Amino acid sequence: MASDLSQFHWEAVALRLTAFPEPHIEIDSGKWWELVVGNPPEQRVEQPRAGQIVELSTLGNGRLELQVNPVSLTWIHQKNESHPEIGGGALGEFRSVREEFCALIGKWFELDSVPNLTRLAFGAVLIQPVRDREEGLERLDKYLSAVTLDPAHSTDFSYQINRRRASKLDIKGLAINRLTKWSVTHYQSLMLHPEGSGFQTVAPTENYVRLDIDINTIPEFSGEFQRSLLPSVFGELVELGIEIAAKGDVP
Amino acid sequence: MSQTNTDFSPLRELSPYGSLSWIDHEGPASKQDVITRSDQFGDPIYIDALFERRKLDDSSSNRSVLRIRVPLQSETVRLSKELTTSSTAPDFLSVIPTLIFQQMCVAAENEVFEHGMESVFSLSMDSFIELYQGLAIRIISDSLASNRVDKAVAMETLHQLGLSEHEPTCDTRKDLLLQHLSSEVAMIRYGAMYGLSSMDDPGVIPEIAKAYKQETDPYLKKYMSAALEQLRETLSGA
Repeated sequence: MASDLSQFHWEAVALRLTAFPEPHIEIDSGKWWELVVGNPPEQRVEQPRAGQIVELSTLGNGRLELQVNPVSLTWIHQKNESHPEIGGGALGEFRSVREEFCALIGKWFELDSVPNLTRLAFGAVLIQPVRDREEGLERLDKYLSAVTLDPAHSTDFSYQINRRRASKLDIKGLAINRLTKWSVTHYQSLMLHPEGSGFQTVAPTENYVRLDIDINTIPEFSGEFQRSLLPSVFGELVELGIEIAAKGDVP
Repeated sequence: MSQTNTDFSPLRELSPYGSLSWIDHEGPASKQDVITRSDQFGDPIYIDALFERRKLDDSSSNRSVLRIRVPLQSETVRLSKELTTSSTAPDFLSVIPTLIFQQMCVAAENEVFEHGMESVFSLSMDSFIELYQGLAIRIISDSLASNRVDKAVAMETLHQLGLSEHEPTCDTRKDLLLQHLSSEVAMIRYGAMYGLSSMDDPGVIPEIAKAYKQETDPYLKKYMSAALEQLRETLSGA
């Protein structure tokens, strides 16, 4: 099984870090973007009534965003289009996009103004182009050892599971949620004619195997992470995501 | 979070809408105010919002927390995007505060509010605003605008917005109260007025004076007059 899967390569559509600050504290995020990215954001949107700030800039063939609100702090690198899988696929190969993203996150962890954090999450949306639905299901069958698929006679398949594991770090009470969702997605660009004559196909159908990953420290963890441990904790989350992408749905 | 004592006295059982209850919480302070729970099969069943009962009991050896339990099978959640117990996706996170406030309002329908007396709802509002800050005010605003909040609860919500001492949201709370001075419902106007007088900010005198001229409810008109007098005294430093 492992050698079968190594021939397949994931592309990243979106990568995300979500961090949960200690409740009831003021967050001083004003300089984060420039200190991490190295120049001002292209856009900054403030929503005072919601207490939310969003800063973003183009990054590669996608965009990098920082979303700050009282509940969570999120760095996300994603495609610009609303249907990111269309028109040129993904941000790039999972490994290279991930390394670039993790380097930015590493810079953020070094900032003194990052508040005490009680929870961390690593999210990713990964895709593999396939010829059609049947090939997509055949591919998924290789990744999902707990499921037996009948690709020729199955449609609308979606598999979501969380497999919790204890952390390997020396942090008492820390466990990790490994939430994944596997599916085959099908995209078709259509144009609607204003004369009402119906839809016209404007691009070939695109089919993908899609993997949504959400690797996060359990919400029941009652401690907070020392700043020096943040790279290790986040690193463990990323490594678990890499393992799932490489080996499939493993216990 | 760890709880050494899981016994609690239910304050309200509102199944299938959820419940409010006090639980005695011993041990180290929990950093996690909102957690999700799953049953033995891993299926999501409810969200716990735990608010510390700070005003009534500051004993560190036996703090009480207010638990707001929101069942994930409720109709409100079914209208939302798919949820799991372990997701950190931004769409999921943004739903939780709204669900909590909705649950607070449902529970408050069974409370009797008395001026000058703390209530479960008033304590919940304090913690809700402190935890979610500007987002809390937006959620409250959207909920009131939806007209789905019980009128008596809406009135008390506005009252509590004025009583809140959360400084960072002072301006947005005041704006929301002023907005509801022109409500078609007298109870809502009264709640807004009560909240504004609690804030004791002379800066709102022009708006209240304008509302006074347009007010048709004699009781409320009398209250506005008294409030204007109070605010003018504050302005003059008396």
